[in-house]
Amino acid sequence: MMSREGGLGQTRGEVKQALSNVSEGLMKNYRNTVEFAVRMREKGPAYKEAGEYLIAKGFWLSLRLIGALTGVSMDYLTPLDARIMSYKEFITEWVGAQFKRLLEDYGIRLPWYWQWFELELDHWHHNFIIGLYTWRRTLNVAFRGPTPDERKWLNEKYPHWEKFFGRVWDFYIKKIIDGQIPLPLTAVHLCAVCQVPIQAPVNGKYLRIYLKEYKGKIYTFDSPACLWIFDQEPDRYAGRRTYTQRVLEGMIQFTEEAYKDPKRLLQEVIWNMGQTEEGEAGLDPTDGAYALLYKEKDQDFLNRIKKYTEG
Amino acid sequence: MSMEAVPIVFVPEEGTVWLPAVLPTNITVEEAIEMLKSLTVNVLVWEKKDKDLRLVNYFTGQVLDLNAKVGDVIKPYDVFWLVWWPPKEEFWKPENQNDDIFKIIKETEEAIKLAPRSPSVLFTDEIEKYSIVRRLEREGKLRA
Repeated sequence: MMSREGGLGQTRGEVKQALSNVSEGLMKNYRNTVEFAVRMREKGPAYKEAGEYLIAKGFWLSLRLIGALTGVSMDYLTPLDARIMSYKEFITEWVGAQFKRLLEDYGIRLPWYWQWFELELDHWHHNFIIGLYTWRRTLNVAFRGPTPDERKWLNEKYPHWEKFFGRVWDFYIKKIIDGQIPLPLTAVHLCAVCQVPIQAPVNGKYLRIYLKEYKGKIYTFDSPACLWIFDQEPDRYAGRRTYTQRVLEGMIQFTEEAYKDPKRLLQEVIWNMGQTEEGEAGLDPTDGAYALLYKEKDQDFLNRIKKYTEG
Repeated sequence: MSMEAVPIVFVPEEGTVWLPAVLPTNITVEEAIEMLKSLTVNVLVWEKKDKDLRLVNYFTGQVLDLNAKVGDVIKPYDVFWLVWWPPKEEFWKPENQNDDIFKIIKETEEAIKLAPRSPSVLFTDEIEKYSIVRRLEREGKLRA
């Protein structure tokens, strides 16, 4: 759904069909869960609560998956002229609204984290592709940044996009224009439940992180919802040590040189993950050409750079 | 991993994602900041001219003394903001976290108290009584 060139499709018809399939698949699963919960409800209050738990947990974890796959695909990888709506519009109108109606039909209250979910629709998948692009050397999928035309579309669809994400892409664009390859020197910290980078709900000063000690080990989470799931089923998730946790706890060993030099450590992480230093992993398919377009097409680029670096 | 190192989680104040790092315990906070700066500033976030950096504890808001030894003031899995200093605003202080986004964050953090419980919590006694896995665990027939 995400990795092939062209995102969800090459034409508006293909994209519409792909989104219909995603929406129908999700609603089928949600309906099954809700109907199961309704049958549980008949057995008594504890069963009713257990049913609500399954609905709220299922919806939350499905959102993480859909945000990572469909969100990135819709708003970044699909060609501009094939896009029929934004990811936020899709989730709000084609998924969220149906899900709400489904719950109302059965007299079930909305998941307790609904406000956070709506907030994330403006942010989470935008942050996620920044992470994919930044740490692309640890992935087998190639990514590039948005072109000036795509950026214009993003700003139209997400009025806060420039403020929160423009400055990050501008940083990479400036590096490329200056002849450098923007690559990170650290790993990222992952959530022990959803296993994605801890980057919620909004970047910068709004970032949150939640820690929990369980049986002598520390676990980190990206949201109250993931913390809640862990609290409810700790034994199910406690065994899932994220890659960075295994490195930090010494379960994955590197050379002595790596522990003295963080830059060397990241190189060894990449080798350990089976990726080559500059091989097939982590390529920008345009070799940075997307960034060079800003020199020609974005008159305001240099003014923005000046603002970012002012104290 | 060497015993003289401490794992932390941190993020530069304009960062997009929390990052792990391992700090030697025998260096000063100032040296640790330099190390974190070299990993992030001009790598993931913009440099700010004429500004220094400080480590601010995410949970307590304590600004670490530059001269303190890492081993004396940082515990494993401590979480830090890497903040440009002097700061434009002390955003980590609760009294400054009052816009619409912080409101949603805090209301959700509060709402977790009303969140439904899972079957494994609601039916703990029944699971203990009827679960084959639990019985085998009690009988020592399963690995811990």
